[in-house]
Parts: sequence; structure tokens; C-alpha cells
Amino acid sequence: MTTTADAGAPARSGNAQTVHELFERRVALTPDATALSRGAERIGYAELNARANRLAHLLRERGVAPGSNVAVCAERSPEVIVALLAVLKAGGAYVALDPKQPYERHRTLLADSGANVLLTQEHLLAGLDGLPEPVGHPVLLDRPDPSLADRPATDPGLPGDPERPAYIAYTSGSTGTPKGVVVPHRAVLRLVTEPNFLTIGPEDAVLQFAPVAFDASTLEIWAPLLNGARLAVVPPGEPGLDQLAETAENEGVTIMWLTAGLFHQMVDGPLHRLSGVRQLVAGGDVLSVTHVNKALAMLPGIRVVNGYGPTENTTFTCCHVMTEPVESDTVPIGVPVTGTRIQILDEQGRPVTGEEPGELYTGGDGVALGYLGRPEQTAERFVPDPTAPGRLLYRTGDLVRRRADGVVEFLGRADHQVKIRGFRVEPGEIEAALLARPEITDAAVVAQEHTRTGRRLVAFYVADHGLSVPELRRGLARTLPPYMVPAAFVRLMAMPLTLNGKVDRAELRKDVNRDRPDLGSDYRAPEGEVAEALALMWGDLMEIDGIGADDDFFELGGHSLMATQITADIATLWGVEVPPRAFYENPTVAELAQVVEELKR
Amino acid sequence: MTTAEEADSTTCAVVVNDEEQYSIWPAGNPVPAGWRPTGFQGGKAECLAHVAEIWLDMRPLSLRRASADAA
Repeated sequence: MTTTADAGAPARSGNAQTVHELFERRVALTPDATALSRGAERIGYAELNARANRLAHLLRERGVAPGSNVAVCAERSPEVIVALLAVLKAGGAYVALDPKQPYERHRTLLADSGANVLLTQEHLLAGLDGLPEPVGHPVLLDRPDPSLADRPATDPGLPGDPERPAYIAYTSGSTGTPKGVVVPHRAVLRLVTEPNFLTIGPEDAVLQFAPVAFDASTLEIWAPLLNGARLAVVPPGEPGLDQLAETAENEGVTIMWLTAGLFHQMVDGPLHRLSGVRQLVAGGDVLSVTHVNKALAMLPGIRVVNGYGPTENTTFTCCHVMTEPVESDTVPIGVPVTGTRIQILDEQGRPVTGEEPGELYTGGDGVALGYLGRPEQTAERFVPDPTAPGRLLYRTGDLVRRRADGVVEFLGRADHQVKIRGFRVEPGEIEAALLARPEITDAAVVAQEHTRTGRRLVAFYVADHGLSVPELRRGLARTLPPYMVPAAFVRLMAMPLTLNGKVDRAELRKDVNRDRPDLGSDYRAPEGEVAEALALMWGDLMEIDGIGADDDFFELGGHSLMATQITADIATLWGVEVPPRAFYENPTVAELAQVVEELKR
Repeated sequence: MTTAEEADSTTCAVVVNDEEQYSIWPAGNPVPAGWRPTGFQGGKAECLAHVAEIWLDMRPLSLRRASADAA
């Protein structure tokens, strides 16, 4: 008995065993169909294949071989798609580094993955300076090697293996270091070939918006390219809601994915512009019934899909497809996706009866190979599947319940893991980063719920003396991705403890401290109607009283989703549209007030 | 929900499948088909530490063989 993909996956994808082989089949079927679009730019299937092949041959010469890991650090663009295909064709697995994440994080992931080549873009080179060999000499995707044109445009044609890793996706690790989930080709094929949660064909266009480092991109990229559809790439940068809706409209997008937070904002915002979208897939966190129902009512004929699943089971485990208003209190996560088996087990590992809650375990072709180089953590979470000989079940840590009608509902986590703006966060990783500072003697990070901005991370710490919050924030931002930097920092004399002597996290979750943090600068009162209103607006979202005129949006804990919300509030109040970059260029209350004043004139 | 302490008090067995992937399983419970005990038993943490010592090449066996053939 082996754990290679069972008869299901190859049958569903013809005889293709790998992502690139299935793509190559598509190329042979419809060479002239459009594979990628971005505005007026169009790349056909045959052209995309030829470009990827040339790069794949170059990568082979640079030492990429079956078993290699190849890092890709690039902004969203058609070149990135060429790069991912080339890595797979050369036999490698891609490791996406999000350009928005700090340099130290890149170094950590490069070392952990053992990547032997780095692919990037020219404008990102400065931020990647001084990396050790062999990634010290990156391949530039936007200034291609002149010799690339001489490389063969033919498929490298290496023997494919469905168990070979296709990508390594890093997720937050509770012990303080991120861990790389190793996802094989068969797991990607299981997600996108004849999925039961999506209908997709050559007439469809799918939006590419998710960072490649985030596993929603697996669906966005490979669902269209392995089904003959078009991938519509959103221009680089951080578009506002209106820009995103406009891109979807102009590109004729029929299928799009949004993280839960963005979905809710879209429904409250320019949803009417998505009238061409037939299937709207949202997830990464709990969806609100009100927003789902509003989307269904406003966009006749649309299917809203709640997509649920951990990275370890390749993007989705269960999906709930909705065409009629939801009548339950929560939006269910639905039923297992094609090629997936689930089990709901009690504390002793026995199947629960009826509608009893239990922990969700998932098996089938979507299960990853484990955590790269982490046998202990792999053996702990990937356990024998009693229903499929020799196969693995991934233990999700999610508590669920199966309703009498067979539909599964998500109830919460069995541990401390939280979702922040769709990203999975282990508070333990942030606590480890805080405790790495000599001044801090104890730390706990919890998520607090907020009515308007959703969930935010609050760090509680014990230190010998007060620390400047901006300094603390900058320190964490040097090693952690932006969504893992807490929104607020609260110094305590001692941690509250439970009767068993553990940190009382429930108590900390309730402890909402609205004091202006120690910003290392004096408070100056906002002056003028606009500045006063802005300070209150920020304070409402950040839950801070008494924000000053010179206080910095990001030092207070502001982030891009919050900026989107404030932009909408400014538009409502004063009828002016503040560009997203205004928050970066004019980060204080007084400076942003000036921008608004100028726009009002 | 299984807390760390509860899990540690249970005796576990280290098990392995034909792809030489290792995992842990409650000792005393019948080992699922396709898996066999390695003979190592102990608390959960001890079993995981043992796995870390012996599972050096984490690639599935079939993939290791295919790579060896190709080389």
C-alpha cells in the first residue's frame, strides 16, 4: 500500500499527474485562447507556455531539479505566473515570499526552505540586498536575461510525479517560527479539477488578487489555467475597494475570491459593480449571514460560496454554495470538496454521534506532505487515517458540528490560533518575538473583537520599565508580517492568571484599554473641524481615546483595511475621495486633515 | 478538546506507513490498516521527540525512489 494519489485524481485530470502537465494539455487543446489578461495586455496559452518553458530551461541550468525549492519574491503580475509555471516545469516547488513582508522574514524563509534560486523583480532588488548564496544572485522576471530568447520554447518534459511538492506555503507557527506546509501536485489537482463547489470553463475569467504567499492563490491561479479559462491579473499595489471592483468589471471577471473582511466591505460598498460575477467565493474567516444575504439579493443569479479550509489540506476542505438566502444563524462551511473525506472526532479520537460537536480531521488527496523539515510537528498533526489504509488525516484544530441535513458548521478553535484579515496567526509566534526583547519578562497576545473593524490583536506585556510603543511596533515589524504586528500594546504589572496558574486569556480578551499609547511624543490637541472629526474617526476604529494631532496612523496601529474604512467615512462626511497613498504620505491626523481640506476646496 | 497535559498523560506508539511517513497513535488501540508500530512507546512528547530523531528524510518513499531512478 502506498500513499500515492488514488485512482480518483488521475482519472479526474485525464492522465496528467502534475499541474504543469495538465496545463500543457490545455495549451495543446486551445493554444490561441487567452490565458492571462491585465488591461489591454493579453497572453495566450501557447505564448504563456513558451515563456514558461524558456525560463524553465534557464532554471534547469541554474541547478533547479526535481526536489529543489525556488523562491519567488515579486509583485502581482503576469511575470509571476510565468515564474510559477517555470518552477514546476523545472521540477521544483515554489516558495512565495510576499514583498510586503520584512527582509528578516525573507531571510528566515529562504534559509528554512533551502531555496537554491530566487526569482524577483528589479525594483525589489534593493530590499533583497545582501542575501547569502546561492540566492544572492536572483533571476529578474521583469528584465529577462537576454539569453532567454535562445532557450528552447519546448516543454522540458521531465517525468512527473503527483507526490512531488508543487509549493511550500508558510504559516504562522505557535513555537515562534513559521512553518512551511509542503503541498504536492496531486493536492492542487484535487482542488481545481472538476470541483464540486465551482463551475469553471473556457468562458470564465478569474481575478488574481491574493498574494501568491497566501494559499487562496492556488485556487485563483490554477483553477482558470487548468480549465482553459482566463486569469485576470489585478495591477500591483494595494487597490481600494472601488479600484478592485472596477478591475473586476473591466476585465469581465466571472469568478472571484475575497477574504471574509474584504467581502463584507465589498457588500457594504461597490457591490453593484460586480454584476458580471457569477460566482463569488469568500472565506478565510467567518462570513456574516447579513452580508451573504445582501449579496444574494443585490446580484441576481449569483452563487456565493463559503470556502473553508486550512493550508494543510490545500486551500479548501469544505465549501457551502449558496443561491438562496441563508436562514441559519451562521453561514455553514458546507460539505467536503471533491477528493476530500472529513471526520468529526471527540477528545478520545472517536467519531461523534449525530450533531455533537467535535474536532474536524480531514483526509483525501488534498492532504499536504507535512511541514518542511519538522518531523515532530508533522507527526503531531498528520495522523493515520483509520478509514483509508496507509493514508494521513490532518488534524485541523477547528471545532465543527454536522447538522442533520449533512451540512457542517464551524464553531471555533480548539487552541489559541486566530484569523486576522484572513491570515492565520499563532499568538505564540508573536509572544516569542516579544519575549525575545530583554526588557519584556512576560507576554500574551489575544484577539479582541470590534464591531466595525473586526478582530484585532492586542499585546499585553510585563516589563521592568515602560517601552515606547512605536519602538516596540517597529521592532516586531522587522521580523513579523504586517498582519501579525499587534494593533495595541498594553503594559501590565502582572499577567492575570486562572486557577491553574495559566495566563487568563479570556480575561485579557475582555480587557479593552482605550488609553492613548506611549508614542514617545507629546499630545497636541487636533485643531479645526476636520482634524477633530478625523481624530474621533480613527479613535472609533482603533478604540483609542484622545488621539492627538501629530499621532501617526500606523504607529497607532492603523492598517490598509482601516484606511479603506476611513476613506469611506471621509467620502460620506465631506464628499471627497482621499487616495490610498495619502495615509502613507500624510500619516498624522493634522497632515491627513490638510489633505481633506485641500480636496474640499 | 484535548489539552496538552491530557495528551501527555496518554501513552502513545510511534507508527509508520509504507511510504515511511511517521506518526503517533494511542498505544493499545488497534493500529489502522497500512500502518505498523515501530515498537517505540511513551508519552506524547517522548514519541514526537523519537520521531524527530528517526525521520530524517521526510519525502515519501515512492518519491525518494523516483528521484534516485532519475538521478
